[in-house]
Amino acid sequence: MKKIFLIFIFMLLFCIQANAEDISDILKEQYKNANISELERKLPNNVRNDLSNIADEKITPENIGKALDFNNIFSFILKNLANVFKKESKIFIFIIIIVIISMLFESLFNSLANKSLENVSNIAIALCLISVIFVSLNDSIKSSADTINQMVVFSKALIPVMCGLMVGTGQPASAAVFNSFLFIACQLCTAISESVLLPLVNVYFALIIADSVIVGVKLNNFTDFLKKMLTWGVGLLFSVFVGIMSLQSILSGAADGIAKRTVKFAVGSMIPVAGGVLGEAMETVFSCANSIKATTGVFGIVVILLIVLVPLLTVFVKYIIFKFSSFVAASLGSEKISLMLSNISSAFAILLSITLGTSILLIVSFSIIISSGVPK
Amino acid sequence: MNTDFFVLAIAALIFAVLIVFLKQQNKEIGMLAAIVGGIFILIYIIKYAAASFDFINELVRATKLPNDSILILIKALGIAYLTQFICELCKDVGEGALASKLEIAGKLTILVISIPLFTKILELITSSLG
Repeated sequence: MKKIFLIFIFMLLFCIQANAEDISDILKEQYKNANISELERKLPNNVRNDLSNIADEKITPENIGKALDFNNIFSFILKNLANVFKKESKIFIFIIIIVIISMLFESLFNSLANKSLENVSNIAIALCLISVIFVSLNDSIKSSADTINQMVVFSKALIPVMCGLMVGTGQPASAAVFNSFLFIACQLCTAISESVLLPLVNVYFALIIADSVIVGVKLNNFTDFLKKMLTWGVGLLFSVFVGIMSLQSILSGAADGIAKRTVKFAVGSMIPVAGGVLGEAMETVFSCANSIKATTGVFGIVVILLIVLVPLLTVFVKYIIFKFSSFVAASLGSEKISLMLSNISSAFAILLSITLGTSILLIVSFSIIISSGVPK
Repeated sequence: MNTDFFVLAIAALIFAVLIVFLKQQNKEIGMLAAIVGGIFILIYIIKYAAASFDFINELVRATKLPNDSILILIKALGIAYLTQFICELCKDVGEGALASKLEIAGKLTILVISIPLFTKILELITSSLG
């Protein structure tokens, strides 16, 4: 009894003070280790400005939860939409002027039995329209290519950070799968968009020009076929990517779950006395890493959305303008111009689907990464 | 504008009666009267058209877009109207061959004034490819 009492006194004399670590300290430490500041350096300049302007304080991965507000986002989108609309509405007035002139031509030819000058005049009208529309479409194609490139460059910087954080949450198998899969997806996205889809939009536009300028040649069916092929191709490509990624996340998630439970069991049963506490501490560290992974992922998604916002709004507004101009031309009786404008609006719709598809692919991929490994 | 059109309609009617009367007296003078009547109506149409072209010019200026292509179109429209008008006059006086030659000249003129549009599009295409 005396011996036990002495041992107890001895233990009391040499015990050290132990405190539970504050979660915010763990978070700060993990933010530092995740090298997120490197990610901020990879941001495009316009996005860096937008991140400062969208909310009262600059949006960073640490404060994204507090800084993001629905009202701010909504007013930011509306402001950009108004700017884009103001800038692009000039094309609408220009098209309407050409439609008016074409109406004057038509009224001349309708009043006369001899319509020998009609074809030449139609060519002049089509060339006049094309000279303006070409600049607009070409700008949009270039801007879409740049946007896809910017998204991919940023995603390539975000993937290692996110995969590192996944390893930190105890998902090494998922991290390995997503790392390689997302890099391949990014490479393929740029390769397919820049080498196949965007040149095909150019071909589509060339066919529209040929259809409207060359008299007696009907290329309408071919342009329709090309349009369907492009929209189906874009849809299929992105659906396959997202589908494979979802399946991979289920499989690797199951493997990670088993590994995590095994490690927790090993820590809990093999380390005497403190094993259970260490197991719980491990769970806390994983939860903190999960929280950082979520905020970093959401930050990445916000950046991708900001990269794509203005180009997407521009293409969308142009699509609306050309569609509306087509309705106006049809209602004024200028069927040929109406058909041409409708075909050109389809070219903008294809551009819209390519840019939107790429951004959705990346956003869904990062959303899968964020949601994977989150305790249910 | 309405009064102008009223004057034009009455003038056309007077010219028509005069031409019919003159043709009975002297065919050559009748043809000359037909030409004078046509030119008179053409001058009136140009006066009308100038007002609508001013409106188009105002619109183009408001868009601040390059108006050279619109100017080409307006020129083409003017040439088309003039060609068709003179062709009809030529046919009226029985000069169908001259009318068809004038039509070809009109077509060529429209094509020639459209060449800057062709070159502009070609330049755009080459700059986008390069």
